[in-house]
Amino acid sequence: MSSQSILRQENIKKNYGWFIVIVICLLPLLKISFDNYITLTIAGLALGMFVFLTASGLSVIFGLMDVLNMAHGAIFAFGGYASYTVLKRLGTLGWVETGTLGQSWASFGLGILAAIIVGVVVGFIIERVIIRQVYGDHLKQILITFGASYVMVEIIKIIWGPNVEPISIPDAFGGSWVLGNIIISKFRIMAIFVGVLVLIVSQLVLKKTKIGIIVRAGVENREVVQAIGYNINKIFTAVFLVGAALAAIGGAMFSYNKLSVYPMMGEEQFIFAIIVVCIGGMGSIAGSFIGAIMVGLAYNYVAFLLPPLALGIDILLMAIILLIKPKGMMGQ
Amino acid sequence: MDKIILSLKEVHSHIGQHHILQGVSLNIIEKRPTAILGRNGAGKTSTIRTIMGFNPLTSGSIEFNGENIGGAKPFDVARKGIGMVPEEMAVIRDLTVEENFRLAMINENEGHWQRMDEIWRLFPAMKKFWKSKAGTLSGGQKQMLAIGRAFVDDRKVLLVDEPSKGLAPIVVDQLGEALIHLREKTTVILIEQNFYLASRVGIDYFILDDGRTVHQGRMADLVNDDAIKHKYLGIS
Repeated sequence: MSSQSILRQENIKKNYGWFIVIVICLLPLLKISFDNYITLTIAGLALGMFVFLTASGLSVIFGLMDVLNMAHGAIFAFGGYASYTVLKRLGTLGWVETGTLGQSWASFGLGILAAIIVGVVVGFIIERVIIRQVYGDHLKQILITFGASYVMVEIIKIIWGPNVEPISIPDAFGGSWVLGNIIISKFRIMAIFVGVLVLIVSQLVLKKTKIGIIVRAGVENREVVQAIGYNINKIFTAVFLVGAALAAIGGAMFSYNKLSVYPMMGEEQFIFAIIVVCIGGMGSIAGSFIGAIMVGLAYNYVAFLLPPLALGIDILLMAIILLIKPKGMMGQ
Repeated sequence: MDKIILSLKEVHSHIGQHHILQGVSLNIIEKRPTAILGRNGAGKTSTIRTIMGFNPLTSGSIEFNGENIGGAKPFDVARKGIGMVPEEMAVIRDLTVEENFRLAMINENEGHWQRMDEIWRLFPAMKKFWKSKAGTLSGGQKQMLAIGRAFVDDRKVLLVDEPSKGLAPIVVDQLGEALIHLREKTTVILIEQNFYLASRVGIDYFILDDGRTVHQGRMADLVNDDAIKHKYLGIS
């Protein structure tokens, strides 16, 4: 075999995640009209971005800390409720539904900021009070964080009530653009933008900064990082808080898209996040991004064609990828 | 007068129910390279892991530069000036050679880059493969990276665990040259089963057996002492 063909095969192996994404993107065109296809694709990409925000934190937390945090979905829900509370308050001041463009942007930003603050505070409490006690024991981690997620959902019900609460998103982000027969939701485009922005920023931090080098080294070999002179516990806490903040942003964005918040929203999305982390590989943010696009698109296309199989297609996708590559597409 | 830079007195360590170190005592003289020898399972790697704080110190004392470091956290031990080159070429495979070195440059400064120049002179491959992923290096190059990375920060003591393991004799020779060079800059403590390399680098030696210090002295004497070598190291 010539060296060129070996190189070509290696490139195919390296990029097969993107090949699968392209196949998933194009296959539905055989059965769906072009107009519906575009609408579904944008909705699928937006869903992928909400899941990406949750999964990327989960993935890095597992990759670096070897911690399975089943309460990650509950942090997502807290993020959603924090934004809901801020937008409700700003709504009474007329900033949300009838505000100026500046007030719309400010409402959006303050809602996200509230989600980040609540996500970091809740994440800090979970890491210090619960996860510190069970480092190195996966079974205990699963049991105690799973229990914590139930407690957190109950806390949400006590604070905000058990019902679905409607949420109004700032005027500038509501509504759609209509291009012929194609309807494009403004907020979904915003969600895709935020997801891509998070990916770019996280990749820049991981690849171009010293802290990024330390985190990547910690994911691969914690002992070496400590032997060099870094306090891995502090790095763990910082990464956990960043992961919690990302989940909370995901929760806020998800609730803006759904125009509602409800106590179990985090638990529902957590299933997708787990699938994405398995597909992308533990510890890889880029892997989570590709996995999230796959999951979001596949779910939306199948939900349109064969609704009962929508979640099943994502599980099938995960099973196939794990059979080909047991550590996920970009897992170490 | 010789200054003792690292001193272990009757160090004991347990992992679970296993009593892995049962009385290790060492006095390491500053800038005098020391080999820690012994058969498989004698407690050599456990000793340096206990010094670094990776294994628990059950009893005894560990002093570095006169300061008690027994039971300190690994990052604290490292920040005090003890570097470690772990067994099995523990480079970060997913990072480039450059990133591996920059990882080790804590509070990056001019001194790091002066030492980097020295490392490039010792190991030209590190300059050649500067932008390559560490995972793509050969076994010998990975070991060069691991040693260079431990030296690039200002370390008073360098604990080097079995650098010759799995390497071709010519590469072992090259590493030996580098360690001989480094012993003028820092205190090298070499853990080795390869007696040839240990005898080239070490001036002092300690022999461990069953988790205890059983013999110590000058390497020049040990080289000619077939009885000790046979009894504790299985060589003659």
